[in-house]
Amino acid sequence: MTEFLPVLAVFIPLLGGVLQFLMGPRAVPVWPMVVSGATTVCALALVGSVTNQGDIQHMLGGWEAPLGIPLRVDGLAAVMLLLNNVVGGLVSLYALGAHGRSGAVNSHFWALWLLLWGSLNALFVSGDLFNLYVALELVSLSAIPLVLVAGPRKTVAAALNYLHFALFGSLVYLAGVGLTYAVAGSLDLTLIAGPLAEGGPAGHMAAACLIVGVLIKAAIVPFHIWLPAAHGNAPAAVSAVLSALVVKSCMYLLLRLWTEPLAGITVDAAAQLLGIIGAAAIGYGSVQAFRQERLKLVVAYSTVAQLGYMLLFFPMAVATAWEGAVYHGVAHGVAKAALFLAAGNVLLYVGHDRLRELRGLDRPLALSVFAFALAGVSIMGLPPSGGFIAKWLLLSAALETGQWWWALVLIVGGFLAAAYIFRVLRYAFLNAPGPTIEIEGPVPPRLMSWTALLLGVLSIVLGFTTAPILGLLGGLPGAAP
Amino acid sequence: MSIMPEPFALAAAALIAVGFYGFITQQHPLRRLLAINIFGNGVFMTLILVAYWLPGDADPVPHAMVLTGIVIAVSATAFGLALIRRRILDANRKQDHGDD
Amino acid sequence: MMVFDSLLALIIAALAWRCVTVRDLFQAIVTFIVLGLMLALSWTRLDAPDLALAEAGIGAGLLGVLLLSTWRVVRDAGPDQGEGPPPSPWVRTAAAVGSIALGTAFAVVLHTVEVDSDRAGGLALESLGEAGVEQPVTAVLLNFRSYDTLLELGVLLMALIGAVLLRSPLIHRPAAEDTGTESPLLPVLVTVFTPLVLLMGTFLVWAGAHSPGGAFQGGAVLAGAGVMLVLGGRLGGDAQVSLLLRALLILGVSVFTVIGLLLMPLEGAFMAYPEGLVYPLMVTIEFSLALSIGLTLLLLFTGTNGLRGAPA
Repeated sequence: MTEFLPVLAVFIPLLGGVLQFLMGPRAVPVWPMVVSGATTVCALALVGSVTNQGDIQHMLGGWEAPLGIPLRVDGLAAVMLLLNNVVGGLVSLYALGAHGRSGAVNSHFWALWLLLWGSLNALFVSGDLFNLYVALELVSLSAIPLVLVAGPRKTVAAALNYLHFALFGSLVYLAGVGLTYAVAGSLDLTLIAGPLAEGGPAGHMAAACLIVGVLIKAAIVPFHIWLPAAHGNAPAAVSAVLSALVVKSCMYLLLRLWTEPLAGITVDAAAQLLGIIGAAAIGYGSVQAFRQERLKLVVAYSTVAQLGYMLLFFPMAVATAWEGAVYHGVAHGVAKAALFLAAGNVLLYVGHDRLRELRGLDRPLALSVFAFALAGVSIMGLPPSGGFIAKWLLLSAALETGQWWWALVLIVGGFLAAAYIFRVLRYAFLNAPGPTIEIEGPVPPRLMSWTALLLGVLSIVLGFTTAPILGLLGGLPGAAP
Repeated sequence: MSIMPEPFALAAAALIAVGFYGFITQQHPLRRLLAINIFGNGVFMTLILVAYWLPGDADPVPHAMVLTGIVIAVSATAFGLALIRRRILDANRKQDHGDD
Repeated sequence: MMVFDSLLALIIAALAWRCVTVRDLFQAIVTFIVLGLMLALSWTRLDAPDLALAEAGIGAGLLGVLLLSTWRVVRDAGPDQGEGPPPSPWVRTAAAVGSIALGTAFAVVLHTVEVDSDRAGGLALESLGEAGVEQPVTAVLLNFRSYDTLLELGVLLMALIGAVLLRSPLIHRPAAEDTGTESPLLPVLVTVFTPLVLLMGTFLVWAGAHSPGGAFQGGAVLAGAGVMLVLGGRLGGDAQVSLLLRALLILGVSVFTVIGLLLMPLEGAFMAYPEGLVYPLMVTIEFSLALSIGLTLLLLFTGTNGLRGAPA
């Protein structure tokens, strides 16, 4: 039974989304909730069995590698599945409040969201280089239409820009896949490391294409320009998923490729370059986040910055850095989902999210503002929170490898994050006399406030769950145990 | 593999280079989509060459990859064209009704 | 043949350059379509006739019609579409240097790569007997790597949902004021497209003798036939969608998934098929795929929820 779980974790939501498309508005919200529940349970069972029994492999079609496509769930995949399905389940609950009514657009939302959920699971369990290309396309082409759910008029330009970059990035990646196949004669992630390392210029070209393609899709500076508009204008539930999970899935792929198939071919200069790009992303994203006038854009630029931390793994490349980078992915995923859901509640209640015109939200939106503050603690990297653990691990790695300058980046990044988070909170709590804000919307339903708060609490709880999650993750691949 | 220039390998490299150039320099969204597709065609050509280099029959695996790639590229481009049309329709409506 | 190949390669490079640099959008689109046809020609030279047909039918044909229809919308909207300013000379120079470097690197790599001849594709060719179909590419797409194909159907469906969400249908009705000089395009398109569709239909009949045919090419033919009906005013997009049409749209992905899931406990793996049933299952899957692909491509073309027969 356990070897079927990866398949079910992909196809319960995928088939669920397809059937949602068939049944249309009448099936909302019962069918999507059933599928969401089943997906979460199935994925958690999968994570549980990896915890107990170790890696799971499923050869699709019964064909052996390199002929068939393997599904593999190791520690890294299991941690990402855990993040994806816990956040996914909570976002589904939130969306029950936001998109739970019958209607054509809501029906499309649920179909696309379930498809996206399944696509992300597919990406995390895939063990085949070309299949990962298809999974990347699945993720992008369900994510981009989801942005449009907020109404085409204000999102169409952002979606178009997103599509350009997503399409170009995946074609660059595909070029890498083609060259890899030429050199290695296989697409199985476990079989290509050796041939790539001996592949000469073609091997290096293949590696460069794979990495750059994924960087474009992950919206890493300077390929970030599509991200703020898309993440900032999408509906709250979608913004949460895009920022917490979608770009994260590309970062996951980068870690996976770097440490396994490309392990023999990576050069130190490239690793240092990735670190420098990460530092640039942290600096640029944080400063931009501080300068934004709209709440959701602050949170979106914060994503640009936070993705940079995961890149700091590459120049350090020790076990502590590995744990720190992955833990940062998890902590940021949970915290960023909380921030976007809380921002969505503000937007629903006030009718806009212009920072200067927000004040005195601590009363009517106490739960959401509290959720924002809790998640903010994790984003800033203050104890006790998941973000603190992640940054502590990265800091230790910087000192361990003697590369103190990354420690400096981490500390400055933390101050910058504190600046933009406190700026938001200052406006939200401000009770100073001024033009009273016009309230246009309803108080968000309890479900929407509580899911945001739950994610906020989770981002703090992650400060205490280090041992089980890092135990599940396992050590840096290839390093001596 | 010979050191003799292979015309189609050069064509693949040219498609990739020109597609990249167009992606950077073109401002019109439709032109940019065309450039991306040209880049993609270069990648497909590369894959077909890899299949062609297998001694004996052509390698079916890269061929299957290209077929998948073409369908994905075309459906994504079709979606992109729908986005472009929507944008123009909205722009027109704004002009007709003044600012909204 | 070296001369012919070199000439073809040169034409391809020149067309690509013209497509990217020519000022007029219409000319860029036409160049793109011609480029697609030249690519198809070059791929037949590289032992990939099935891909050549897919490129001619889907890449150049279907996409070409869609591009030209969108061009009409762009043209009618007037010259200024709120695009950003043209890139500065600096950006242009940097892009030129970058693309020359990229192209050179690719050319060098493609000329020096030491290809591994011991590969998955060779294994696929040897295992054809177990795949249930004789055509190697079909065997890879529907059996050895069927999971890719299944996920790819998801991409098609998502693109369609996205297009439907946009509510930006193409108007193909040849209205009274739209005929004559206003739209010399349609009759030309139909004449260009008809032989293509016929060519592909012939190919499929021929391929059917060796294998169940290609689902993608078959789907493209279906879509092509539908497109011609739309262009001829016989079929139109509709805002309403019937349950039947939706069921047909998801037929391919559902049949594929459900067969895989039902047989999973028996065969021990997802998408593994019992020996005696491989051939009938392949045929069932292939036909449902072709139907769904064809309809999805057609709806991506009309940009609407559904279809209806237009009033004669």
